[in-house]
Amino acid sequence: MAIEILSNLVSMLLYIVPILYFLPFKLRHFQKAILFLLIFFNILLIKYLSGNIGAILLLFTVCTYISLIHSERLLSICTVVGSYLFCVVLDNLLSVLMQALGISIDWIKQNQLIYLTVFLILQNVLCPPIAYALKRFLKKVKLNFSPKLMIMILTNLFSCLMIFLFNIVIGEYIGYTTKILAFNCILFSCYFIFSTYLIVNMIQAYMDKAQMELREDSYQKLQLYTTQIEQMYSSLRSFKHDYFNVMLSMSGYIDAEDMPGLKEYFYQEIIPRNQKLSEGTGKFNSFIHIKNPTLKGLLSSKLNYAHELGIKIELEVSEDISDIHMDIIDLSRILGVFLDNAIEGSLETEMPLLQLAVIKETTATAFIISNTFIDKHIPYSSLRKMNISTKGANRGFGLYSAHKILAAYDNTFLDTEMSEDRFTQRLKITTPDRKDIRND
Amino acid sequence: MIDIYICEDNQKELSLFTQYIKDLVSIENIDMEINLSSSDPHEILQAAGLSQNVGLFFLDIDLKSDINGLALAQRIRKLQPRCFIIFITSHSEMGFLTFEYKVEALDFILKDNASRIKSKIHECLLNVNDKYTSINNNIHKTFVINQSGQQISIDYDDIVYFETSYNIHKIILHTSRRTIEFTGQLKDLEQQLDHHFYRCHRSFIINKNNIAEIDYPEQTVYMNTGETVPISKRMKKGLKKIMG
Repeated sequence: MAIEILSNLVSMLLYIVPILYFLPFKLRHFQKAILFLLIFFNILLIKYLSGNIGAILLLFTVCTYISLIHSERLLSICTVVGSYLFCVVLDNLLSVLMQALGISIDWIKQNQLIYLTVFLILQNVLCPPIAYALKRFLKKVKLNFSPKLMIMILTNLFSCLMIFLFNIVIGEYIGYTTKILAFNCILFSCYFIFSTYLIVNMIQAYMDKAQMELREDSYQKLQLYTTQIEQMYSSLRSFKHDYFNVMLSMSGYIDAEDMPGLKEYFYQEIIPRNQKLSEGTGKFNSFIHIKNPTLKGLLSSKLNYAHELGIKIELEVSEDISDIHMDIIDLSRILGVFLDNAIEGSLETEMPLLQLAVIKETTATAFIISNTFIDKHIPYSSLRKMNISTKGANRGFGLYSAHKILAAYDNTFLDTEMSEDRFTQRLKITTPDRKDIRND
Repeated sequence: MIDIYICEDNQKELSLFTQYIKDLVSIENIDMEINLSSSDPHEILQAAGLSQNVGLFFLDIDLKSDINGLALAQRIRKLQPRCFIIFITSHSEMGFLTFEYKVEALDFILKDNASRIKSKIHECLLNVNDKYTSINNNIHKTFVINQSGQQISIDYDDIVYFETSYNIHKIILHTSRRTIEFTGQLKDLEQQLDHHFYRCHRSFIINKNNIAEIDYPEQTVYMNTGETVPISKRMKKGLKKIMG
C-alpha cells in the first residue's frame, strides 16, 4: 500500500518536473501546489478509473490551468503538451533500454518504484540542458515569432500527441505488446523531431527573408536619398552659375549709382532666388550627420514622404551619430512606428508640423520626434496596448509592438509627453558602461 | 522679481534686443528688470551666480567665446535650477527639441526678421511671467529621475501612478500628460516616496491624491485620468485603512 502511494507520488513528479523546467516563466509556490494537486487527481483517475484515455483529461486540465496563469497561452500550451510527449518518449526509451540490458518487463512491473525513480533521475539530468537550449532558442526567435508559426508548431505537436494516444489506447485494446507500443512511440517521436526540425528551419528561412527585405528596403531608401542629394547639388551648381551674373548686374547698378534700380533688382530677383535655394537645400542637410545607412535611409524617406504630404519638417542633428547601442533593425522599426504615428497625427491638424531631433550626449543618444496633434484625451498607457489607437478599432498594433521590442532592452528609455497641441516621443539609448556589461 | 540677462556677441543685435525687452517690460508693466546684457558669457555666469532672484536668460548660440550658448545654458541651469532659458539664434542644425532636451529651454527665437523677433520676445515675456506667478503660488515637492546624467523633475502632485515595465529593470512613471521610463525597482521606490503613495499591487504604486474612485469588489482603482489600476487581495485591507 505504502509503495503504491509512493509510486503514485513519484509518477506525478514525473509529469510535473519537465513542465516546471520547460515553462518559459517561473511559477509561484501556490501555483505549483495547485498544479501538483491537479496532476495528482488525474493520475489517480488514470490509475483506478479511466485508464490511459484519462491522459486527455490530464492534458486538458493542466493546459487550461497554465494558460489561465500566464498571458502567453499558445506558448504555455505548447510547453505542457511537449513536456507530456517528452515523458512518453522517455518512458518508452527507458523501458526498451532496460529490456535491452536484459531486465524483463515482469521485473519492471513488480519493482515499479525502482523503475520510476530511475526515470525521475534521468529526467532531472536531461531536462536542464534541454530547457536551457529551448530558452535560448525562444529568446532568439521570440521577437519575430508570428502567431501563424506558433500555430504551425502547435498543430504539429497536437497531431503527434493524437497519434501517441491513439497508439497507446487503441494498441492496448487491440492487444499490441509493450514492445510494439514502445517501438511505435519511438518511431513517431523520430518523425516528430524531424518535422519540428523542418518547421524551425522554415522559421529561420522566413526570418532571413524578412531581414533581406528590410535590407533591400533600406537600400532603396538610400537611393532615394542619393537622388535628393544630387538634386541639391545641381541646384547649388546652378546657383554658382547665376551668382556671377548677379554680381555683374549688381555692379552695373552700383557703377551707375542707380540706387532705386538696385533696390528693385535686389528685392525682386535675389531675395526670391535665395529663398528657393534655402528651401531646396536646407531641409535635409543635417542627415549628413547620421552615419548609419539604414537609419539615414529610413529617416530621410519618412521625412520626405511627410514633406510631400504637406507637413512642415524641422530636422535637428548637429553632431555625428554613429554608434548606437541597439540593434539597428529594432531601432528602425520603432522609429518607423513613431514617425508613422507622428505623420498621421500631424495631418489631422491645420498646420501640420513634424520635428525630429537626434542628439548625441556623452553616454547616450536621444531620438526626439514631436508633432502637432489634436488631443483626444486618451491616456498614453492605453494607447500602447494592442488594438487601441486614436484611429479606431483594430489599428493600434504599431505602438504595442514598439513597446514589446523596447522591453527587450535595459538601456532604452522612452519618455512620452502630450501637451495641448504637441505629441512628443523621446527615446534615449544609453551606452552601457563596463559595470553593466559584467552584470549581464 | 525676475532678473533678465541677455547674451549676444553681435553688439548691434545685443542693443536691439535689450531695447525691445526694455520697451516690452515697461508696456506690459511686469515685475522684471534687465540685470545684465553682455557679449561675454563669463560675465553672465558671474552675475547669475550672485543674484538671489530667478533669472530669465536670452542667449545666442554662437558667442565667439570659449563656450557656446548651449554650454553656457547648461552651467546656468546648474546655478539656477528654476530659471527660464530662451535661445535667440540663427543656428540651423540645432532647434527647439535639442534646446528643450538639453537645458529644458522654454522657447527658441529664430533670427529671421525684426518684427517677428519682437513679437516672439513679447510672447516669451508673458509666458515666463505666467509661469513664474503660478510657481510662486505653491511650492511643489519634486520627484527627480536620473537618466545617465540627465535629470527630469516631476511634481509629486502630477504623478498618477508608477508601474513596472515589461522589462524587469524598468519602472514607468505616469502623469496625466507624460509617461517616462527609468531604471529601478518598485521595492526601492516605495521607501523613497512619502505617505501619499501606496503600493496597491505587486506591479503598481498609486498616488492617493489622484484617485477618482475605488471599486473594492472588483479590486480596481480608477485614477482621475481615467486609467485603471488593479489592487491585489493582500493590499486591499491596507488601502481601505489609509483611505479612511
